[in-house]
Amino acid sequence: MIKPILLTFTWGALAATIAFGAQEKSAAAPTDPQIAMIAVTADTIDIDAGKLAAEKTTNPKVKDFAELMVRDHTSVNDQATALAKKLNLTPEESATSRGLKAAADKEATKLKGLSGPAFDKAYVDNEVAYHEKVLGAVDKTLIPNAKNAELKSLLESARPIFESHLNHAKEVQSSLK
Amino acid sequence: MPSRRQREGAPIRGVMEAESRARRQVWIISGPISMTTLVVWGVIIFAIGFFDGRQMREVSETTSVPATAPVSNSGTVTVAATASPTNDISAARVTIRLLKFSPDKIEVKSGERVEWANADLTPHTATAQGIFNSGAINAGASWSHTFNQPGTFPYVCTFHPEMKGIVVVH
Repeated sequence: MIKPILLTFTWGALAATIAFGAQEKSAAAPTDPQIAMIAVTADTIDIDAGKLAAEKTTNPKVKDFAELMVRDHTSVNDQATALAKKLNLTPEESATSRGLKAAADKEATKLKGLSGPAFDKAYVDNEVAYHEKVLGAVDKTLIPNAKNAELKSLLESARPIFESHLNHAKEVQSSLK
Repeated sequence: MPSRRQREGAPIRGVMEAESRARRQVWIISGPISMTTLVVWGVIIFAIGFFDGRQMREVSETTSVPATAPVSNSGTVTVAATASPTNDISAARVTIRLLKFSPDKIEVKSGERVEWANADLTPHTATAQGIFNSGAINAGASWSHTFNQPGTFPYVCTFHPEMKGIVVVH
């Protein structure tokens, strides 16, 4: 009676540990296909947000910033997509890319309900927070875990752009206060 | 009148003479003295061609080195940033990479051209209000401007205004 229970418990514990460990591992260390997808997702999110803002805003600084987001992230996305193709890398969804997308969808819904200065503030505040998050992910997760040298190099080249965007966003944020 | 013997012998003698003529000719071509002569001439002709060609290559390589001395970015290693590839000796080059103009200060003579090559991931511009404006230079593309007047021309990227450079025209 006790033996089967103990056995089940032991196997159960082992299985849980493995499953948990595996999950932890995939969240902490994305593969190259997952990294490619995270990069493309992050770019696409900002392109979409930029397009929305460029249409909605009447503030020239905000409009310039939004157009910059569309221009820059479209270009980075093109390079990333071309590289993925060249490396025969099929971008793969992960918890990270899905999480990014979910948060962005929620934010877009909120922004669509706003207009005027309220919209501007919400958009720019989000851009600051978003670029801080993306920069952190690039530094702590994407670059350190990229195995392919060209992919790593692309991420390293993209990094200064995200930093520039963050600084830009902060400037616009100050001008709205 | 040649005898029957002489008549019958004539063709044979002709052949024998032709044979010995041929042998003499062969001997002349492949004889040791002639062979050496040929080889020696061959070496001489080869040497002339080789050294003459090398001299010409040295001359063309010298003329492709540009006259302008690049002023490098502080702390940034720029590899021959203003030395354009061998075929274009008239343009000095600024490379746009990692949100920087490299070199950030470039010096040219009046009448010379500066080429901005975008090796970055996003579009940039090279803009000096009222003097020159590249408009958007896409990733991988280039834009050039010929400077016909001396002066110092600070410029920026209008998309990323933290990016600054200077063109000094002598």
